Amino acid sequence: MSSSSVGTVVEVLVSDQGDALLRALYDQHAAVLWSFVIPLTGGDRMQAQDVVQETMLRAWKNPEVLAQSQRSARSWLFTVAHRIVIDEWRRARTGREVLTDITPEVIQPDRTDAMLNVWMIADALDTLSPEHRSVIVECYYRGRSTSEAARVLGIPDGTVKSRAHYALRALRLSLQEMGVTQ
Amino acid sequence: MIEQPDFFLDYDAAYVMGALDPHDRRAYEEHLSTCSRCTAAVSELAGMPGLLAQVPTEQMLAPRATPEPVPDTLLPRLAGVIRKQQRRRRVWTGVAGAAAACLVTGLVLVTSPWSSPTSQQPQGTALTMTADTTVPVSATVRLRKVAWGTGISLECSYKDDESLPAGGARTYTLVAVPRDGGPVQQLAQWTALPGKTVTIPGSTNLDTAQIQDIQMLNSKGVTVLHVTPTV
Repeated sequence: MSSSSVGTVVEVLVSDQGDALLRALYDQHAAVLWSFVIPLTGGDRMQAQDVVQETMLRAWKNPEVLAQSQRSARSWLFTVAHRIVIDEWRRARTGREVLTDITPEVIQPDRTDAMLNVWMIADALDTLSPEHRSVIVECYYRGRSTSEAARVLGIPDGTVKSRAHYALRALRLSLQEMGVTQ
Repeated sequence: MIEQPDFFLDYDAAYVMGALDPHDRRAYEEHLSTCSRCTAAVSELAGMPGLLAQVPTEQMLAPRATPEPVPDTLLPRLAGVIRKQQRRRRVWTGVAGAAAACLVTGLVLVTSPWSSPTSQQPQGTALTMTADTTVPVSATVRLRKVAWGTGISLECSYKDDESLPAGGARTYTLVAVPRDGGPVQQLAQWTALPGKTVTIPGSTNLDTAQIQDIQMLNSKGVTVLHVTPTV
């Protein structure tokens, strides 16, 4: 999304079709989807681009995906991209014999199942406000007590508690929308 | 300490994350043994530590790397494919309207992963947990297969006549034991209140078939209830 010349070309292509849907899909989700897919393909950028393209194409064909909340849409895109990678992995594995003795870098499906969940949760954490995220990082991931977190963050202990309260509830709501928890 | 009704209102999250200072924790647990609203608030959040635990600490503590930019070729290529498909679609719609519509509906139902992540209706197999010792608690777990693993919801009731141990509430933990001998996963932690039924949402990345046993541990880490999911 950096090069302005490419941006202009795309603008023309999209507006020619009068298709704001693709633009919305791309603006809201392409960057996150790209970061999600690269490790799934073992860093193979060519394959990653194919996977992201196919995922976004499927979303474009199902406009109800974007009509849902952004969280649900994200969850749908992650799940579809993940499925495409696994299907390709299976096809590659059954379709042809291994030609070299180099083990493919592509991560195995059972690992990617775990990765999908981690990504959904990490993505939900990333969408929290920096204030909310930092309280969860201090209190949970660094294992600090609220008073220690208060000192580190330079805010009162009561503020840490109330931020944690709202942060965890916001996170829960987000994960519910993504279908990670009920 | 002057206790107002809402004094402990926002202690719930720090409590489930294990972040309350010892004196706060004692005071809150004492309060929990008398306040059903706060107990309900804690059980709502009980599944969160299990979810947070799935993201590796190093990943959360690492400075946020600037994400790799999306390749410039992606959007033009995608727009090209769509343009082609639109042309094809125009022809298609002209030829076979109704039939194509039916076909598409059928396809969407089969291939769309919508139904699993977003459906809210209670579903899955309900399993009654069996007691390992005499305990004042009974529980039913419900397993729900989702794309990334298993959603686990626990409905847990406590006998009314059981007096709580001195010092406040009972804390229980729900764990899943994987079949492959991997690490035991904590699914939820919550506090018991006599005479109350609570529903605890939990989740794991383990596939239902990969779960050997679901266990409920007391605060001493002793298994009080357990169930083996039948696949």
